[in-house]
Amino acid sequence: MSTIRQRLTRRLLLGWSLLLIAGGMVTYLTTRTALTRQFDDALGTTATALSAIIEQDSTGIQVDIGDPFLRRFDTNNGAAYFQLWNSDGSEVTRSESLGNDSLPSRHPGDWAEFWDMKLASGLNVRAMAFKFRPHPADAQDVAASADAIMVVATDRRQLDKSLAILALVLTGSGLLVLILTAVAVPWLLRRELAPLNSLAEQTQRITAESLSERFPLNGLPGELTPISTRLNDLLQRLQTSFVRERQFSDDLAHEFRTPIAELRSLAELSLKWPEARGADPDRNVLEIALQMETIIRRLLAIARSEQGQEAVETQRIDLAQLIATVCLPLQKNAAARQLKIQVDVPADLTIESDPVLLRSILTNLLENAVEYSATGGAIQIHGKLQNGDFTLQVINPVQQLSSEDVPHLFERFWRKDPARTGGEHSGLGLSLSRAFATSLGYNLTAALNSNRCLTITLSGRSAGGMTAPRT
Amino acid sequence: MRVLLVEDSIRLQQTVGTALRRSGYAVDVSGDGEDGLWRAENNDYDVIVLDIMLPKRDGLSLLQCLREKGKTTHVLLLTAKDTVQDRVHGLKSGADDYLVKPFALEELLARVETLCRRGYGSKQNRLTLADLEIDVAAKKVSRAGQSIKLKPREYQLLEYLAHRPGEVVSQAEIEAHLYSDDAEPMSNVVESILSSLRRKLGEANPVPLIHTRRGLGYVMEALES
Repeated sequence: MSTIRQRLTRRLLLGWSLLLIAGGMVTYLTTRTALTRQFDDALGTTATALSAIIEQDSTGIQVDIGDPFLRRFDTNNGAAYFQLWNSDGSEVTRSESLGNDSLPSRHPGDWAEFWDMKLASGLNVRAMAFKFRPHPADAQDVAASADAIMVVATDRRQLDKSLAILALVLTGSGLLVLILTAVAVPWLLRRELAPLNSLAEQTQRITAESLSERFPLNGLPGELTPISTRLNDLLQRLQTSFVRERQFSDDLAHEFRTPIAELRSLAELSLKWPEARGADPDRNVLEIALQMETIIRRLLAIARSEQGQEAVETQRIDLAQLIATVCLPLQKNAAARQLKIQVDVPADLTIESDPVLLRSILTNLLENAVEYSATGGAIQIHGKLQNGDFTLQVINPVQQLSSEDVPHLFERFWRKDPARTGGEHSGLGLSLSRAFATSLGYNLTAALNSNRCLTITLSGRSAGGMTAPRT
Repeated sequence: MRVLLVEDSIRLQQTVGTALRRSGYAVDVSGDGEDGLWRAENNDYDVIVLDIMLPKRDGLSLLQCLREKGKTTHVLLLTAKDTVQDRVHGLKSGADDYLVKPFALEELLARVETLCRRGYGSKQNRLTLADLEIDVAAKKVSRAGQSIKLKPREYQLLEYLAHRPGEVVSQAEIEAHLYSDDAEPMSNVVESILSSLRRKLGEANPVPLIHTRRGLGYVMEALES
């Protein structure tokens, strides 16, 4: 699997190589054109100077052999060549440097013509052909004056050598730059992409045991900051979720391990020392079985509700009457704890709801209120209907609950007592009530005020709540 | 041997407590961490069977408090927490052993017995003094090759003394190890048990093994004739 760094390295090196080659070629071609033009200018100057010593007289075109300028066209020099033709194509003369060689005759227009060629001797030369009218030797020769064609050539080895050196320098420096780039680019990318690598490595190290770790935000490039921030948020949620799940597993394990241990020890004790059987071991076994059955039944009910599989069948319910029915069996326990139950629900408050689920919610809320209220306190039940929405509040003083506990009230298996002593409560009641409330389309919330009064509020539409077919 | 059981489940208090008593231990039962700590600090138990999730004070906090105060009583943690971290945490807090609920009663009893033996620096199931042999696991006693039938209290006293050969053990110490807090033994009960024990050991071999150090207590040793 290729990494961003590898891909960037490959692409940067390829792009940089292409740029270097293109730049080198442009440099070479531009320089070659400039040098050739310079060479051509010199060749043109030579040709012009040569044409100046060529005269036209009545006998034809004459070249002043004695002119010192022509020495550069001597055989010995061999660096410059010329050949002269009449306009009819007949050769007039040629430089001694040509020897048996010859330059091609051309018929240039008004502008001089330049080209590269190779002499028969194998020498590369730069040639120029131009048409000119030799100046007359005297005034009477003016009429006889006619155009002549001259080709002048010079040895271009020096030019070729310069161009070869240029090509070599360009190629060499290009290769050097490429090598340096091949070293520098990966180093630079590694350095600049280090935060990304670090992020990737830290992400790879994340396990269920390291969810408390966080990605550092200081010194991060701008592009990575939102990623790290989001990952940190995600880790926080994941950690909370893991802690909750682990707590759930621990609580579930405890809820089952302890009664199973009780069952097992009861049975083993009876088998090992039959005479040591307690007064009523069978009743104990039954109580343990019922306790476990209740937990399983509630867990299944929560699961069904959370998956939207809880059957909901609505009908019109007189809320005051339902509350009175739920309160009746609790009066004895309330009296034992010197609790007063004060109901403030309008007699005509009716809602459309599932009576089974609603009764289960109210029973749980009121049982909790009777169980956990401070002794001698008052349990208040307020109900009201406003704009088609009903609100039902159960308010009771609590001694042991703190504001930190409130967010946990609806968690499965949450209990204030970490020892989870006693089997009559499993910490599923409020969780189940909220699941039922959600099935009915209601909200179930909790709040604790500064006077340590807990308010559980059930609210929703008084009519047309969530309905689902019985399954 | 005296054992403290700190467990908040009433049913486990009854079953485990009964099993321990039936196995010959004097058992005190506590239902919460504060009471458990108080008992552990103020009594000399051979083993404490300790639940972790307890009301008022959790078992690990109890254990740490106990260790900080220099109490080296062997502690067997008995808990529903079963992860490796839980076990490691429990053992690092000063526990000597760890048993996860649900457990087999036999295993619990075996572990308690092992911890008791460890308390007296012994890894053997068998205690020997002269021609007296005590099988701690089977709770059987023989002298000069002759099997001796002992009552539970007699056996407990013999084993306790045999674990400390040559050491003078006071009557108060014996009472503390033989009886739980609930029991209120009569003042001469230890002497009575000792008398019966001496008589039964004497039937197999008249050479006395248990000697009285007047005003100090009792010592078990085979004296050179």
